[in-house]
Amino acid sequence: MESLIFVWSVAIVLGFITWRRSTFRFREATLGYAWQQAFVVLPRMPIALVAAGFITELLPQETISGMIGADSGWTGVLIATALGAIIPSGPIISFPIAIALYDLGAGLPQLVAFLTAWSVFAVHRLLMWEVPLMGWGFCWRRLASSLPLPFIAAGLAALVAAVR
Amino acid sequence: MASPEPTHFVRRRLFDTSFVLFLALAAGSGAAVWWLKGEEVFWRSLEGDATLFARILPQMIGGLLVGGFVQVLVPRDLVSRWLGRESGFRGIAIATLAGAITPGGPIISFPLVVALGAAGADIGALVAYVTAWSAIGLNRIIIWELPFMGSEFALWRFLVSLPLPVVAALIVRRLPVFDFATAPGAGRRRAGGE
Repeated sequence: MESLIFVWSVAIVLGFITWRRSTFRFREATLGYAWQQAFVVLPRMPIALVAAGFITELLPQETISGMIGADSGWTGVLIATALGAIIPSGPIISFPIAIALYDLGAGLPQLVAFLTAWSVFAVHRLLMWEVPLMGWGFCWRRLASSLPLPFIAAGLAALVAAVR
Repeated sequence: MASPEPTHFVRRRLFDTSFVLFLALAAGSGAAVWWLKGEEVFWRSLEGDATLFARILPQMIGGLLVGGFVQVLVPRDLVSRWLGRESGFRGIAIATLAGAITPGGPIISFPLVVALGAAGADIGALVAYVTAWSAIGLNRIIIWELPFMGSEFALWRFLVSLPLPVVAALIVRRLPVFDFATAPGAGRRRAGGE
């Protein structure tokens, strides 16, 4: 509920500023950028949620929570990292999966590792954008320097989970 | 440097291959749940999805609007001016900030990285920029993470991920030197197209 109020407050303030600057820009932001993205995302999102929900029912919950649950430690972080790194898709798929993993009992550090690995490794983005534009020379250096990142984020998240 | 053309309106049809794939996956897994777990579990799962969707949708629409407004309010060449000038640790810090606030998808950020690399920007700063944009990008947090994961999770994940761009930048500076002139996009960029 707080995040709903927060997001809409920001939207209203930014919308007001944009409107004051130029009504053309306002139309570009709403009917252009926002609508373009909504057009792609909104019809797919409920279907992805439904699919993720069904798959959650089909997976053996105890096995999964044993693998990436809060007590699974660094092994669980490693599994979650590998899982996040191989998801060849954008947020429409990965966030329903994150919710499914949460429902299946994933721990906080493991969930953080999953999302971090998906964000920084992003196979689809790498193949569609990064390799064609930057070449392998840049890509392998960036990937190599990003290898420790899911583990660092998960370690810090574990500290947070322990303190709270 | 001329600001990039606004080519980031991705023209996609409503019902393309990915949509059909999603639908097939949902139908297939739904049928399997009905068959293996029974009717009751099937309807309970759908009910849970409906609740989730009703919670996510209004936040996501707000997030999409924020993303749209940021895109017209942040000047296109602001980020490149920031990134091109600085080097050293200050450069990494500025790149991290710039990556976090860059709106939109890879169609905006990667051509920028190519252009800056070809113009001689430090690889540490560029890796920090890409890492910040992907791991702590505010655009994605507002549109996706807040509605899906809730504000508490989103806030903690953001905070524990703050050091990541700096770590990646410091590591990449120790790797063998990379010549940006060999990047495939560098030549095309200078030729004036994407």
